[in-house]
Amino acid sequence: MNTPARTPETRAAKLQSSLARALVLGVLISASVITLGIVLHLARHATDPVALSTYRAQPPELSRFGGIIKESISNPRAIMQLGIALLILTPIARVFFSLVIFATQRDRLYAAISAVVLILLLAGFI
Amino acid sequence: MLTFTLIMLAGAALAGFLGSLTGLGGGVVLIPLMVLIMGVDMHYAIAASLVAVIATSSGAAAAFVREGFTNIRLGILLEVATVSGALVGALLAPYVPLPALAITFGLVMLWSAYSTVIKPKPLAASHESDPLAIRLALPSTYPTPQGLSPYGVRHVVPGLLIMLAAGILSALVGIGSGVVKVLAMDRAMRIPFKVSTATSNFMIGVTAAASAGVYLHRGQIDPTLAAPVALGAMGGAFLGGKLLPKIKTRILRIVFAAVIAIMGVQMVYKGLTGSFTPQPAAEVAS
Repeated sequence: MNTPARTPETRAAKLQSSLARALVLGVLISASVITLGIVLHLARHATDPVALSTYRAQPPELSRFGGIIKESISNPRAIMQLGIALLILTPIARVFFSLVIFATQRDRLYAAISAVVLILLLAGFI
Repeated sequence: MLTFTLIMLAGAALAGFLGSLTGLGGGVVLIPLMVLIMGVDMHYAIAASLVAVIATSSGAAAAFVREGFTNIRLGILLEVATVSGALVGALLAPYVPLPALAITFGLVMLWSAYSTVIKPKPLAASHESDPLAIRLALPSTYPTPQGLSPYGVRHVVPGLLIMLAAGILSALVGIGSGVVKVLAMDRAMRIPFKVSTATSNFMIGVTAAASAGVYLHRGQIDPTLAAPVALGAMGGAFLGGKLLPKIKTRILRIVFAAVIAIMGVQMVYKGLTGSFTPQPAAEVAS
């Protein structure tokens, strides 16, 4: 596309490539952390039986962000959980990045729309 | 543990692959595998399938966005409606007759499966756009074997209303928001099928992330299950993302129809047995 700068097409293409880079980075980081956790966990527990047939809520050190980060220094389960927590944040980061990119492009309408989505998402957490 | 991890990796890879191509997320394939075959408790299974939806969405979105299939403006705009719908649905939940809703939704899916394959709209989607779509800068281009092809967007307001319903439904019945998203874009808004599935894929992760945060906090995410599921789904979704530009739309429609037919049967079954909330289903599974 050899269209001059500031046409909707080039803007859209730029938006797409910055978003894609952010997405790839987030996914790669979370995938590496999860892989590390699985490998370390299996190294110690490969022959353990699977205990998932009865539900028991995870302890706070595996269900709160602060706890997961502290615990991940010594516990492979927490490393896996850290990767999963990062993964859960990627779509939210995606909306946040869209907001930033629309804002830098002075696309006020879509910056506002992204902000509304972000607020609604956060409202869901409360 | 090793065998279990490998099976979950493979199952999730398949789910991520199908889910990313069809824009449906892929929890459909995973929940029966986890609950019926591997004997996992439903609480863990539901949470892990949400993680799989996010992994699929994020894994494939990277490829799709780069290829230019995803219409980001459209996705963000429609997201306003789905996320509001999800919040409304959570409030409505105590007052809605869920079994009847699940059966109705299941039948709608079966009908959609049929109509997606039998009556695909003409290949030259729509080059025309509504004035509102133009004002919102929604019309865009997408890659085809003949190069970038422009497409129009129509019926923005009906599209938004259907998305609102999709959000409400997914909050009420658990799965299936991807189906309504794809169908609304494909049928109502007259968007090319591949753009519809890729944009739906971009959106479902956002909706799922809102609920997954709650599940994590509640302690329902077990890392020994969710970690291989997440990793497998990311891998499968990445492959799906690579394949989308090459696959024929006709084949994609058939795969889509097959997956939503399975979901339709599942929904009707859930409606008839009343087992769509985690609590009773957990008893069935244990």
